[in-house]
Amino acid sequence: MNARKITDTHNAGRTRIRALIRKETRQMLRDKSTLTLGIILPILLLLLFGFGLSLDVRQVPVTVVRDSSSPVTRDLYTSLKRSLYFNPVMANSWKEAEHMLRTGVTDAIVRREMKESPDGREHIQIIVNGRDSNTARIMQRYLEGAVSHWVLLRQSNLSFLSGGIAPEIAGRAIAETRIWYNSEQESRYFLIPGVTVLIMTLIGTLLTALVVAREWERGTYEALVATPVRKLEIVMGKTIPYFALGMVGLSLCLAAATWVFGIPMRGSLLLIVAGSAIYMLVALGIGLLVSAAVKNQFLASQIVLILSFMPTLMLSGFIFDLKSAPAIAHYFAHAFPATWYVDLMQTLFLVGNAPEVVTRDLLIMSCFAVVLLGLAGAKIKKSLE
Amino acid sequence: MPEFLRNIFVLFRKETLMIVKDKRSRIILVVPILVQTILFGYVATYDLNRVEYALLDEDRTSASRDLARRFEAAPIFYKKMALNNSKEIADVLDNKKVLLVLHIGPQFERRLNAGQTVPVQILVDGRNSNVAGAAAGYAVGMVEAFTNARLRERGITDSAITVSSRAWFNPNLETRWNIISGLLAVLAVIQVTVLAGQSVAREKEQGTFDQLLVTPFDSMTIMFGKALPPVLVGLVQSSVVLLIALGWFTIPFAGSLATLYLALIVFNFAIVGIGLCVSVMTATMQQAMLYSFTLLMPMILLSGFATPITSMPEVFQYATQINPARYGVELIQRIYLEGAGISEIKHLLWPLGAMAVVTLGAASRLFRGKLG
Repeated sequence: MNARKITDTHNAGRTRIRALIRKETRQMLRDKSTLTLGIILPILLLLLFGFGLSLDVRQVPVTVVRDSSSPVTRDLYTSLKRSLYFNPVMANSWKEAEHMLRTGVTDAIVRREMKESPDGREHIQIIVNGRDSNTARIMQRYLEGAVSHWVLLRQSNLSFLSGGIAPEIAGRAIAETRIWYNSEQESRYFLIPGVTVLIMTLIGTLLTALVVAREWERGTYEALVATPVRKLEIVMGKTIPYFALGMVGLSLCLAAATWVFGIPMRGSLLLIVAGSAIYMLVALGIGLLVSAAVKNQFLASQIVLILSFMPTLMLSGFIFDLKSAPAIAHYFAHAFPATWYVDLMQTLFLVGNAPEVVTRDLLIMSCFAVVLLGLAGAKIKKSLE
Repeated sequence: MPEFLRNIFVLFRKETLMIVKDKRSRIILVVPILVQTILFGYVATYDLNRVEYALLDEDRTSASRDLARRFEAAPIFYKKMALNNSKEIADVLDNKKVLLVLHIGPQFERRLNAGQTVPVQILVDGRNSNVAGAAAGYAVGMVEAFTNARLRERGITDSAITVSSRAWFNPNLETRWNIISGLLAVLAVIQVTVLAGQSVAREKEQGTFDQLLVTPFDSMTIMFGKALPPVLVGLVQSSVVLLIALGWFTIPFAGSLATLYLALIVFNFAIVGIGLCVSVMTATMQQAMLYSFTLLMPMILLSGFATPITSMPEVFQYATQINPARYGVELIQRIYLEGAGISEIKHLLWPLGAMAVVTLGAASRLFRGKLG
């Protein structure tokens, strides 16, 4: 008798949740703006990060100042012309080159310094525009390398001709670099796992916070309380459709990563999905908590942007690596769940199931999920009482 | 005061009050900008100044120790551990214990003395290829310096050519300089688009848009009344970032304030026009927010703020030409870091001005459409 009663309420509860989910899903599908953010924006972001954005230096305009009295500049021009990274042009005078740098036509100048030094050495000067410091640094390193290489070639020719020891005979150590996990150094390889995190964050926090804050603003939650639906069921009915939308977003990302961008997936798919599901719960927790706390669409969207979207973009290690951040900023960045998720995704995609990293990241994200969902549940319950 | 300007002022006052009347809104418009700018100034960097590495020295001779000592003495390299055999390499890289492994093979010294060219293996964690490339570059430089020193000892002369390089406008190539100056534009883009996007949509959702219908204001007046408050908020926020850049990070300001503010004003009007167009075309605040956001993302990502435009494929480079944020970021950075004057940036200013006229004109027309 008793057992039957429990089964009854259990079934009724399930029916109610199902009804709520159906209502919520319909509402979601009907509103084009929700689908735009849930489907179109992820596709746009994937295309942008997969094809458009890259930190690799390609075809940077460089100006070489022509100098008829030395072969150096001509040789350098030829060597730059052969490289993929640069798009060199010749300028006839320093003045012309400087004007090109100042108006943004060129990003670097290579010239032979005019003043004759007493020891008869030639000085090559490289000037880069530091406005984009990352490109400038790569450019500097490459140009220095190209010049040094040219010097080395000429030097070994000269010493061979003059009967000295050729450098080969002196024995030299050369560096042989291997970039593991991403031997071609494609920035796509780390940007696509990162953009997956961004997409999950957008769907989980921004979308959820907006939708739920709107319900609070309009008082539809209070209306639901009058029905036989339990509070927990209300929360679940709200979150399950968005959780599902997040998983759709994830599938989109995984499919694009594998089939469109050819990113290796060296870890287990199961772990990727499990980790993403946990992060989705974290994101939903933030979205629900913020919207229940402020109950206002504008404020909710602003707070979510500040607490979750911007940190994901700037602090999570997705674009800017955290190794060089000062200790305090480093700890601060790790206070955001997205940082752990970025770490997990980059590892599972590029490295494999590195046990220490994966276990730690999953554990920490699970703690975030429990705490945030707990807080959100408590806040909603209190608001409805 | 002419009727037209007075009407605009009345609307402007009402709209500004709408934004700042709530204490929570006031806080949210200023405090996060402060915190974000300072935080991003520290974290958002491509500079690599700490490379933790593991040493695997299979030679253990004076030559190998000499090379290892060079790494120990270098300010950016931190030796975290020494490995005993090459089987340990996978574990330390996989589990992120170090960023780089320096592997000196057996018979390093013997082969060097025999006059051979001996490889030294540098293994780098490539999870972030940009960092990996920089770390590898530093390590290669260390090995080159080691070789050069040995050659010098053996009397092989220095080269007859020296190379020096200099960076203009940002002598130490600090990422912070371009990130913070870029933020001046980017944070304003986010705020202004969102605020302008909400302005008309909120009235529609709350039904007050109809009340505007019955006022004697024409659509031009309404448009300016709606456009000015977000522009003002954007300018205030940019000023906050500017103060942090000057006072906290002490990034030298090379340009003139007048040029900077002229650029910011033109830029903000172009952005506000886009926000208002979105706002007029949507029915609810939620829709306005989601659509503005869908527009914001590509605008920021294709602005050259975080990744260089020259690295984008050609199609995307063309796309940046209709992106106001791209002009905004470049304008502000050129004025701030390079001290560019009007004549050097006019080719960036006029497209923004044109965008402002077109988007604000369109928004104004759309009001008229709604007003009947």
